[in-house]
Formats: sequence, C-alpha cells, structure tokens
Amino acid sequence: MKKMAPLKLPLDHGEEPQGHDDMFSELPDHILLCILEKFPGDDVRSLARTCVLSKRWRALFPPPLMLPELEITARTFVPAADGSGMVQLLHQATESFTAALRFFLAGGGEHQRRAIIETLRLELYLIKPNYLLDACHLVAGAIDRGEVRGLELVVLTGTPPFVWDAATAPENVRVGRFFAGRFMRLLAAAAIFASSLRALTLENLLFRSPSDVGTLLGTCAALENLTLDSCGFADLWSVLTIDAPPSSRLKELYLENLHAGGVRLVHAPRLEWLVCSEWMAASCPVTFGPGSAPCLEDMTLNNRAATWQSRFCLSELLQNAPPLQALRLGFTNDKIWVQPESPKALGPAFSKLQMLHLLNVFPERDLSWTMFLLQAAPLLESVHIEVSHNHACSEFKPDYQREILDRLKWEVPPGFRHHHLRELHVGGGIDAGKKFVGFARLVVVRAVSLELLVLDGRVTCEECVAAQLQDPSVVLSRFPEDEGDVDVMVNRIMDGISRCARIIVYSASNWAYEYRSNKS
Amino acid sequence: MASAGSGDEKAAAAAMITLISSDNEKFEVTEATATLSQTIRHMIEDGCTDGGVPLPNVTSKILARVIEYCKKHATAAAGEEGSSSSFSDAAFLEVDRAFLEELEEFDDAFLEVDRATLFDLILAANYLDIKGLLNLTCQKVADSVKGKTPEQIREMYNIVNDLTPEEEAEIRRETQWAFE
Repeated sequence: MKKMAPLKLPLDHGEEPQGHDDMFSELPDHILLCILEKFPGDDVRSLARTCVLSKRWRALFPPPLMLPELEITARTFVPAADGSGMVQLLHQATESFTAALRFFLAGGGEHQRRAIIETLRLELYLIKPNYLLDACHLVAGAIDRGEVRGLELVVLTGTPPFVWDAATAPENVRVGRFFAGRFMRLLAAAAIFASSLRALTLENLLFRSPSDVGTLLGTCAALENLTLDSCGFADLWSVLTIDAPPSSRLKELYLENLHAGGVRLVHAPRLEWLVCSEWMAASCPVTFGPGSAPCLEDMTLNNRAATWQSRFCLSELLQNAPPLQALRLGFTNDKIWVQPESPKALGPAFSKLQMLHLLNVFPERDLSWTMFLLQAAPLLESVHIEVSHNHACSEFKPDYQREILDRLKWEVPPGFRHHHLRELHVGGGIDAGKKFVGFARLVVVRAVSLELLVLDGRVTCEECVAAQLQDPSVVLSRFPEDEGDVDVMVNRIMDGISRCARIIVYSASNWAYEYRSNKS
Repeated sequence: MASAGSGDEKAAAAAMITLISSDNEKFEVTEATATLSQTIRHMIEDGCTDGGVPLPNVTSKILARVIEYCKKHATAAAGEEGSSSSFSDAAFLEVDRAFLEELEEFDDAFLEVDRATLFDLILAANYLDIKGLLNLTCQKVADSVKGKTPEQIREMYNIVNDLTPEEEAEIRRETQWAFE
C-alpha cells in the first residue's frame, strides 16, 4: 500500500493551534464560502466584517454565496439613542440599510460563480425616499441578473402601533395617510421591484382611497402573501376591497387590526388562506362576492369583540365562499362573537370542513354551544379547543361580568350523531368541573367514530409557574394534578362508553396518562 | 433505538467495507455507514472497493472520528425510514422528538474538539463528500466567528492581515454599517 505523507500530522495536544500558520490556508475557497453560508441569514454585519480579515477574504466579496435567505433589516441599523430625534436615527438606519444592500447586491464580482439568494428579505422604514428608490433599483438589478429568486418586503413607518381612541385618532390619521401616500409613490416609481415581490407586509398605513389597494394588487403582480397590520382607511366606514387581477398569485392574506368597516372579496382567484384578526366592523367583518375566492381552503377569524360589536352568523360571512377545509375561530375575551345557527344554514359552507380550531375560548363558559359547528360539518375529522388560561402571573383580569348576561344557549337534538370526527383535543385553562365533563361526554357520546380524545391541562406559562414558586397559595389550574383525580375525571366522561379507542390526559403537573378502551 | 431490526443488521453484515487511513490503519465498516460518503458510494458503485478503500488524505485519528459520525447518522437514517405512522399521534411524536434531541446531543458532543481537529474534519468531510458532516463542521466555525471583531478572528485562526492600511481603510469605509 502506497502511503502518502499527510501534509501535517494531527495535533493531539493543546487547545490552541501550534505554529503560526493561517489555519484557513489549507481550506479551498469553496469551503470558506460554505462557512460564510452558515452565518445566520439575518446577521449581515458578521458576514460583511469578514472581508476586512485579509486579501484572500476580501477577494471573496461580494461573496458568490448560495444563501437560502438573506435578511437586511433597517431596524437593526437604528443607532442607539444619542439625543438626536427619532427621525434623525431613522435617517441613519436607512442610509446603512442601503449601504448594506449595495455591498451584497452591487454586482460585478470577479467570481465565475454568482451569488444566488433564494429569498431576500428586506425590512425598511418609509424614510428618505431617494435612498429607498436606490435600494429598490439595486434589488431590481440583482433580480434581473438572476441573483435573487424571491423577494419579501416589510415596510415600517417607525411610528408606534396605532391605538385608536378619540385623543390620538386625528394624529394617527394624519401620519397614516402621509406614509400611505409615500408608499404608493414608491410603488409607482419602483415598478420592477414591486412586480417581483413575493411577500409584502405593511403597517400603520391609511390609504386615501379603496382603489389604492387595487393599484397595489395590480402592481405587485407576483405577490403571494400580503399582510396588512393596522392598515385601512381614514374613513372607518370604507370597505377594504380585494379585487386582484385574473393573473394574481395571491395565496395568503393576513388582515390584522384592520381600520376599515369590513372586507369585501371581489376577486382573488388563487387565495387559499385568509386571516382576519381584530376588526372594527360592527358585525360581520368579511363578505365574499359570488365566485370571488374559488381556492379558499383555510380561514382564521380572531377578535376580541367590543361591547358595541354584535354577533353574526357564519353563514352570512361564508355566503358565496367555497366550502372550507379548515376554520379557526379565536375569541380572547368572554364575548363569543359568533351566533350559533342551524346546521342547515351553515351546511353548504361546512360541507368539506375537516379541521376546526377554537382558540382563546372564555374559561368558565359551557362549551356545548360549539356543537352547532360539529352538527353542520359532517366530514369534520379533528376539533381543537383551546380554553384561555386565567393567568396567575398577570395582574390583568378579563372582564367576566357580561358572561351572565351574554349566555349562549344551544340544544343538541337527541338523535344527532357525528360519524367522521376522529380526534378531539381540548386544552388550556380547563377544569374537571361539571360543565366541562358534561361537554366532553357529550362529544364522546355523539361522535361515534372518535378515536382519540386529548385533554391537555398543562400549565405552559413559565411566568405563572414562577409566580407559584414565589407564592405556593397561587392556584395555577383547577385541572386534576395526579393520577387518582385524572382517573375520576376520565371515568365520569367515559362512564358506560367503550367507544373512544384512546384517551390521553396531560395533568396540570405535566404528567401524561394514557387510557385505551378494552374493546378488542 | 440504536440497533433497530436484527434483520437489517444481518443484511448490513453481509456488506462490510474496509477503509484504510493514510497511516495504513484498517477500519471495517458497514456499507450503510460508508455510503454516507458520496466519494465511497461512487467507489462502491464502480466496484473498486475490493481489498479496501485507501484514503490517503485522512489520518487514522480523523478517520476514526468520521466513522463515529457516520455510524450514528446511518443508524438515524435507518430509524427514520423504519418508523412510519399513519396519523398524528402524540406518543409517536414524543419518541421522534427525543430521538432527534439525542442526535443533536451527539453532534454537539462530537464537535467538542480543538480547532486543528475541527479543520481536519472539515477537510476529511470535503474529501469524502459527506454533506452532513461538512455542514456541521462549517457551522461550528461560523458560530465561532459570529459577533467577533476582525482582530479577534485573526488572532483565533492566525490570519495574517496582508491588506495595506489604505486598502483596509477603504473596505472599512464601504462596510461602515457593519462596524457600527
């Protein structure tokens, strides 16, 4: 066997390298690049700093990296407050942001291998429009050279999240309109950039007219994901109209803290996923035009309803919507904003529903009202219910008084059976009280195909656990803690029933118990 | 978990490969372990592994570590293929999670080496074309450099700054945003 002398013998001793040779000198360039590629995509500074190490490292820049993602975030360039005004700091952040972008995307590298950034994620402030325009042109050039494949943009205003009350409203409207105008002008001036956007997040923008959103959807032709957070119109009665061109690729739409009278879907041919979280509509927040969103599969509606918001029927909201596959309803406070209604009315919209999540349901409410959803959805396979925790760590206690005035009533017809439901998960701030046991038993009795029941009473909030360590008298949960109590609860739920194959209970003290029916 | 089915072991035992380090030490490994290296996989496919595979660029010390890595990850790959579950199952996910955690712990412990050994492992992973090991070791170097000043990095790895003061000043001007 020919034995080749290794270039150097392995060092068996000592933490530090021996001698004074550059340890990287043995590694070929492609390994140096491989190391650079392992830098977190959001730490562009560490990456850029390596080019000052030596001539060899310098020659790697602009680095022909294959990066799954590169994130350049103006927020990380805001200098520490030094007495200058916020606007001044944001000016500097925008300058640095543009310089960083130029460093990575300027092009003209000497390498044969080109940089390929799968996803370039940018976050900018709507400050210094001439710099922003430069940045947009740099990106457009890189896209044109095939160096950037996907582009995602978050647009910040640098203003704190709007709080809508009488005192701040006029100023918010002024600021929101100003930035919305600036954003629309940027969009018009950087059309190539805009047409390459795959994802766009906007915050605190109040558009002058509903047609601005139409312009946005028309200009950003490649957009797949649009998030509007605290956006809308100065006039709270305006309706946000989603009327995308026929070629629109918009797949996911997130509307959070929408400042509008509602949402009207007119045309969104590829929309699959819709989230509407916290709305200001007086009643039903979303409506669909006939055939407006034929691909819609998954919808989330989440609202901490105010006293002036009235309950509405899901059938009203889902009229003209295609049959959904998944639905998530979130509540946060004790007001259940959805009106129970007959299965017949909901039937068409629920005819394909497979998954239902109910989030942040008020803890002391009887859950049997949720049965109207099961009754309307014959193909439903799994239901998750997350009851909100009564946090011991928080001073804030929700206002529960309306519970008494606001009770929901729902009677399940004696003959009702559900033949598809396989899994029911109930978790969060649950107890083993009569109402809860009654509800669990109701589902187990009526859902004749149920295979798995999970009751998850774990307390996951670390602050709550810490609060109890400080003060042992603090009650974290009224869910059973040990096996004996879990047994009692399970026996009460399952008394006389052997149908459900498996029951998994996570006790308040984080133990898991599993029960299997004796049915062979 | 570590030694999955005995049937698998039997099949693997039939195909053992001998790897020979630069200092002429011989290592018997299963084909499943050896083929984590694309270089060796191609040699097996070309049928040139009879009489052992000479690896003149890898010392016995480093080869032993590389084999340790490959054994663990080959078992992991086999485990993943063997376990399939038809529907979401809390208990199953729990087992899966524990298994991945164990693998992560192994990787962390595996990387507890001095820098010279780490660089030898990178070279071996590169030569043997073991993607997972190359990624793991390069990540370790990247992590060691992250957040450090250029001076600290030069000192850690004996990098000689051969930039003229003018060149360095120029680069620092261009990348001022990275130093603020």
